[in-house]
Amino acid sequence: MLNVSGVSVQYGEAVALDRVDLTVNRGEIVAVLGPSGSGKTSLLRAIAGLEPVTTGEIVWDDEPVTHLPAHRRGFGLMFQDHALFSHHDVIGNVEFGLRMQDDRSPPDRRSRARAVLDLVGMAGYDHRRVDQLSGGEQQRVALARALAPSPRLLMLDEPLASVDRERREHLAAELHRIIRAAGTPTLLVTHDLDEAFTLADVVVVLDGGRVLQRGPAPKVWRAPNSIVVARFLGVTTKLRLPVVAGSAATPWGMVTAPPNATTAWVGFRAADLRVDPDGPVGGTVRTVWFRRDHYLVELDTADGPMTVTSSRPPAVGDRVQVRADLEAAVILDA
Amino acid sequence: MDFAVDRARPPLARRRRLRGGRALLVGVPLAFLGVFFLWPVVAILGRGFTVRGSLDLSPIGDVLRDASLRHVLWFTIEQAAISTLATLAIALPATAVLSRYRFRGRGLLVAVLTMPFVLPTVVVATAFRSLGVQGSLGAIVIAHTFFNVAVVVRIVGSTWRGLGRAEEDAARVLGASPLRTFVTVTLPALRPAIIAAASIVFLFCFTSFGVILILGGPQFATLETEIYRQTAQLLDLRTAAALSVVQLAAVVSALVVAGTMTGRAQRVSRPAAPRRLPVGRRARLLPAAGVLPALLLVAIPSLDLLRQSFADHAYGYTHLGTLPLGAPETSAVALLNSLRIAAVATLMAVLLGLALATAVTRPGRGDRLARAAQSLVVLPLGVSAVTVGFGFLIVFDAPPVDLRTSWWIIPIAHALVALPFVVRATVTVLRAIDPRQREAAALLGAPPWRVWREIDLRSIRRAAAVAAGFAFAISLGEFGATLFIVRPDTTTVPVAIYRFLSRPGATNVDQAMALAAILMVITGLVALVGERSGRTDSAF
Repeated sequence: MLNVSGVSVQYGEAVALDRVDLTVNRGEIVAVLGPSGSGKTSLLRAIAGLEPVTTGEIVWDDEPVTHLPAHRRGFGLMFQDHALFSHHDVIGNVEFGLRMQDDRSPPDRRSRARAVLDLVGMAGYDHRRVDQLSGGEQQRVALARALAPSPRLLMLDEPLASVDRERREHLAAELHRIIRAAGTPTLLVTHDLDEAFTLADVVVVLDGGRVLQRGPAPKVWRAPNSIVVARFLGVTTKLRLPVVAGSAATPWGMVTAPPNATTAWVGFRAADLRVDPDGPVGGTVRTVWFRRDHYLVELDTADGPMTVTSSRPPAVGDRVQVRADLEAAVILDA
Repeated sequence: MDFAVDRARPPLARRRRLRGGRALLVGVPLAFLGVFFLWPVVAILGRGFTVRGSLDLSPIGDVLRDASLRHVLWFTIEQAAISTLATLAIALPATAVLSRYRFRGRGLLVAVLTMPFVLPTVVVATAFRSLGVQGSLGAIVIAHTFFNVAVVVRIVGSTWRGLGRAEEDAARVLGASPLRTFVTVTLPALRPAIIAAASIVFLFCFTSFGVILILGGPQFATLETEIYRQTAQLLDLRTAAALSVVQLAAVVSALVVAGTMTGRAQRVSRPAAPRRLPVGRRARLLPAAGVLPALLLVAIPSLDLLRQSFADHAYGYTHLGTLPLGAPETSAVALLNSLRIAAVATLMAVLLGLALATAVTRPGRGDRLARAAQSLVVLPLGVSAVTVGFGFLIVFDAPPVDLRTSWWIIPIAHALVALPFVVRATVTVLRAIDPRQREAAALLGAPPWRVWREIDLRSIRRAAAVAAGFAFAISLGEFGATLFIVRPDTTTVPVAIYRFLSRPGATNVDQAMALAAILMVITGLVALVGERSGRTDSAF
């Protein structure tokens, strides 16, 4: 397993990573989630051995790899822009890492490369030129190339960023299947919530070079540990409520406040607040956005502004009622 | 880290590695340049600035006070300036057509127009002489134009083809006429490239040697031919050194202008696709008229040299092995010498050039070393062959390094002249490699040397082949430096041609014509093959 402890990366004065701790266990898919400039790519490059760390240790099982050059770490990386070798065809790209292993015979290399190409659904593409492939196909070849030498750890940099929107969901599922089938512990970095939460078992939220939260994906999604993380994870409506006897009163009912809190911060994602004639809270429609399968509505209410969903478009200025899924509320100490 | 930011910064990890290899990569070529280029130049400076060991500017002063030498200096500048203007006048219309339009045969046309650049000066001078063009300023200017059309087509052409069409379209939509668009949008964008090309053309004409020596005759002397005359005929090394110092100063200033302008003439990232030729015979008249003068200028002397060598001077071909060049050598021996020297010089230039290009493009401990190495490498490009030859003559004729009688001195001089071209051609390609390709290879388990072999070498193979061809052609045609250091047993073809031409008698002319035609075909083929296989504008 990978153990990163206290790793910092500095570029001159600028601190890209600040004492980051991270673990990837066997068979685990870990997503590092953060906005642009959060340091996630630096983290990936540091683990890969492409960026020297200023302080800290990177250990694989019991072997320190902090100062091992990239080519001796046995980690695989799928670059965001794939960085396929344009002077090789598809099979040549996939075989590259196998050729670097001296103990493999050419037929052995070929059959292993074919097996990996088959795994990623690119069987029969052996002699196609890589620059003639679509974005999704290139991504599969890049994944096959990274997997072929059987890396101890697979790293993915924004794996779905260069795939068009319609194909992303499908490819995310595919990627998940392939990684599971390969059984390689995987670390991916992304700024995309969908990518992180559909692919990963464990999510690590990174911002400003620091780890803000880590945990199993559903838990992080349900219970962000800070307001910053909650906002980053899509919480758009927030209420500040006084705590009385350990509870806070929302318009939709009581919630349990964090211990010792005097004011509770209660947040909702838009999907958990719905326009409903029987809802207890009323508001005036300020803006309406069309979102393919639903409408996103911004309201002004007595409890402050809210962002809610609606199946039908209300008119601006209408009075509407709102219902909440109280179970999904994010409750923090304000 | 934001992705875009990451890309702009050279990864630190690569800086830390490769130190030992780097020292070797930079060290060997730099040592070569230090011994065979810097030392001779310093020796010339020493002779020019000192008298019996103490600083004395009197040699320079004497040169500048001497009326006939002042005339030489003035004529050098005059012919270079006129040649530069003539070259621009002929080459720019052709460049316009070649970079704006795509049409069948365009590649071949570019190859034909740029081929003269590698043709040996002696061959070209012979060709013009056989046309009856000689002994005048006009002859010198025409021959210089012949060579330098290639420089303008390459430098201005690559910028012109890189210009985005969007700006021109914007100007047209905003109401500018085509002419107005050209003057207000296109021309300003081209200006740095034109100035860079002009200063390089000026430099080449300023340091031209073979053309002046053969076409100019005794009454038209430039600094270059005067340095040779002072050294070889008057044995006045002091004046020769002083002239070389004046020469160096002029060359360095022209190089600085060219360097600054080349830096500004960067290509746009997404060039516009060239258009088709306009349809209709009349509409095509203008493009044709743009290319024709340059094409005729290049084609007539080359083809006529071939024709004449077979028609009136065929005797030369049949007697290559018998007519004595200087007992006991014959033209056949000179041909053999030239090929052997060119092979060795090419090998040296390519190996040293690849090492330097690799070292320069791998971001290392402070890019300052890399930059210094690169600018040191391009210096011999501007410093004239005659200076190299003269420097060799005064440095390597006595211990500690006595190469006077060594065969190696000539291939070394040729490698030195060819090295900058090799570095330029390969550095461009290495720079264009996405650093992620090397990182990807490393992550797949490739150690640094393997990364170089798998990524760098693979991308550079073509450019290296082209550069090798170029180096071979340069060595075959090198005349200025060779003339100073040549010995009877190392006579090369250009030197042989010059010797035959300076002797009376028809059979000698026949021999010169035959040798010139052979040399032209060999170098022309090398250049054409390079252009076709490499398809790069990298040498220029």
